[in-house]
Amino acid sequence: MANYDILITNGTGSAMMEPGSYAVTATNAPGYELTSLQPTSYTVSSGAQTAAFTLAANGTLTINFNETGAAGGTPITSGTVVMTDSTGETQYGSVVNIAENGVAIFENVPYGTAEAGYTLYFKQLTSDENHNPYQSVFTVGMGAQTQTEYIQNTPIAVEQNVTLTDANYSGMPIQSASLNFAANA
Amino acid sequence: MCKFVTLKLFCSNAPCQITIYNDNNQVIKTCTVNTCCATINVCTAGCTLRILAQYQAQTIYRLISLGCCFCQTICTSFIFTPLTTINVTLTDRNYGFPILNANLNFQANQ
Repeated sequence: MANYDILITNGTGSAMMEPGSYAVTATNAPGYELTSLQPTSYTVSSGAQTAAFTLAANGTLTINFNETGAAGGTPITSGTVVMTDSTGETQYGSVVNIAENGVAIFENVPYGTAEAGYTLYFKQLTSDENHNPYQSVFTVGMGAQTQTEYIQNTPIAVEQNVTLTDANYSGMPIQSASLNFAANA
Repeated sequence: MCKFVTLKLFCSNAPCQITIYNDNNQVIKTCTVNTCCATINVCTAGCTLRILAQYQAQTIYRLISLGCCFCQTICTSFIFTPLTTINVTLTDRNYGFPILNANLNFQANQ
């Protein structure tokens, strides 16, 4: 019997094959361990049929959620994040909890090279009570087996009631004024 | 030199694409066997015909040595195994998303 190479594009492929039993191997799958293919055998019978295979990867992505979106920022203390498609509408895998130090870890993610990273999408679902979750789907290009990313969570604005009075005539409110509050670096 | 050889071709599956080459690897005839059997008159400059029959993804080659005679009738059959359409899905085992690019090889067990 013949051997068949099936090209997989966006998760699917097809071929016309002779009925019989086959040993199946992954010969190309950027970002994945080729030997992780499951199952490794398949029997073709008469009539159209669907064969489902899976591959696993061994990359690790660490995402830090903090107030600056860069190293050293004040971390959030809880929240959740999930892998999604590019629109954020479809979730992949389990929701991951953000730890007390602001870190969420995704294990077994595919990865590419520094020049051609494997693109993954994530959506932050919740943050702690003092921060706003990142509003957009964010993209990570996994360019190495281990990678660290930083995502900003801005503090939730707290309402402040301000009084402004005349310094010489105690208690007299100033009728009209503007005050500017510049954040300290 | 052989001339005007009659080929009676039989294919187990239709439509079966037939290509006939001469000794010089030149195509001297093509046809489609739609009704399982076709009769073709070929005029060839050589004494050996190479016949290629294709059905779906399968190809069968056959050499027919005609000798040096005229007006032969040669019968030959091409038996193809019916093929099955396999739709393959490949997803990430841990996250379930479709894997963008990959190749899977199916090696027939003996």
